[in-house]
Amino acid sequence: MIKYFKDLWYGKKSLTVTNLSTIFPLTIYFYLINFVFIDGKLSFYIFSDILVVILAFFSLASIWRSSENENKLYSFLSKSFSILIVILFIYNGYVKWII
Amino acid sequence: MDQIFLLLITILPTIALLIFFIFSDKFVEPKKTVFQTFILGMFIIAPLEISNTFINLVLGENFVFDPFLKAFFQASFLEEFFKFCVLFYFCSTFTHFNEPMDGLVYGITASLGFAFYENITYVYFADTFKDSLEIAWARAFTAVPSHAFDGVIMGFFIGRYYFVKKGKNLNLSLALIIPILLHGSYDWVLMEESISYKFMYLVIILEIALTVFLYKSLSIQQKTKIKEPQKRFR
Repeated sequence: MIKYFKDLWYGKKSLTVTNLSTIFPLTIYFYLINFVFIDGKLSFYIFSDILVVILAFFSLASIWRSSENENKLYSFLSKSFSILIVILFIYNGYVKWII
Repeated sequence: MDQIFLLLITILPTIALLIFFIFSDKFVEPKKTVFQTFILGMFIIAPLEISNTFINLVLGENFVFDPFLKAFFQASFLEEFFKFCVLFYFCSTFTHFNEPMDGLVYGITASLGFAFYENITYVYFADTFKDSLEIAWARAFTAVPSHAFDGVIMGFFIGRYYFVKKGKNLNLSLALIIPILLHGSYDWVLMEESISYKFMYLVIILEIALTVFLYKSLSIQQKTKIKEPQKRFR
């Protein structure tokens, strides 16, 4: 398991595998904590928001590294999407509460 | 359960940033030296407290600092100076400190050691649980990353001081001056009532931009390297 995450982190997995292993579960997790489990404690939500931002940065770094030898358009779209995910999660976890 | 989540919110950002930068190094530093640096970063609080007590003795207990002086001298200068001492007098003696990227890694480690301790004191000395939660949440997105980025900038220039032949005095000065200016500006906009606290985000964005630029320049250098040790000029 640790080796799998290490490979993702260092970009040793293909871009498709990286996308499926990071962005896909992150999006589901984000959906669950924001739209399904809506009666939890405040501390749980803050923790989840911080965790999801950390994981989004993990996915950003993994996608960035694994897209080096991939099709240019595919890697551009993956990088753009992962940046959007990071921005969305930071907005959801912090920015929207201070505006 | 609430207390466990509070603890996680307090420590998770520090640990995540630390892991992120340690494992972004192509030649990962030994756990022992990283741990020693982290602990020493936490203990910066001791000389900091002594310095503040000394300042109070000299200026008197009732002396109130101007927000500008408080931000740039009492907070920023002293904190960054002691972090600089950890890097310059302790980390540079490691045999594993043998390439520019190591400066960055030990810089962020010392900085996050201090941020870790500071975060715990701010969170657990708040009046109510709700205050603690709010402080931990806000600091996770602002103060902790800001400390980390200051450490990256300081470490980058310390690395250049040891491994680049030209401009040694300039690199050493920048290692102290840039983090002091950034940290001081961050604290000043929070302390000065006439300035909107939102300017703090401008400082953080500037720190992020600098961090990405400096980290990227070192990681490009590292990519082509096969072995770690590099010639030291001091």
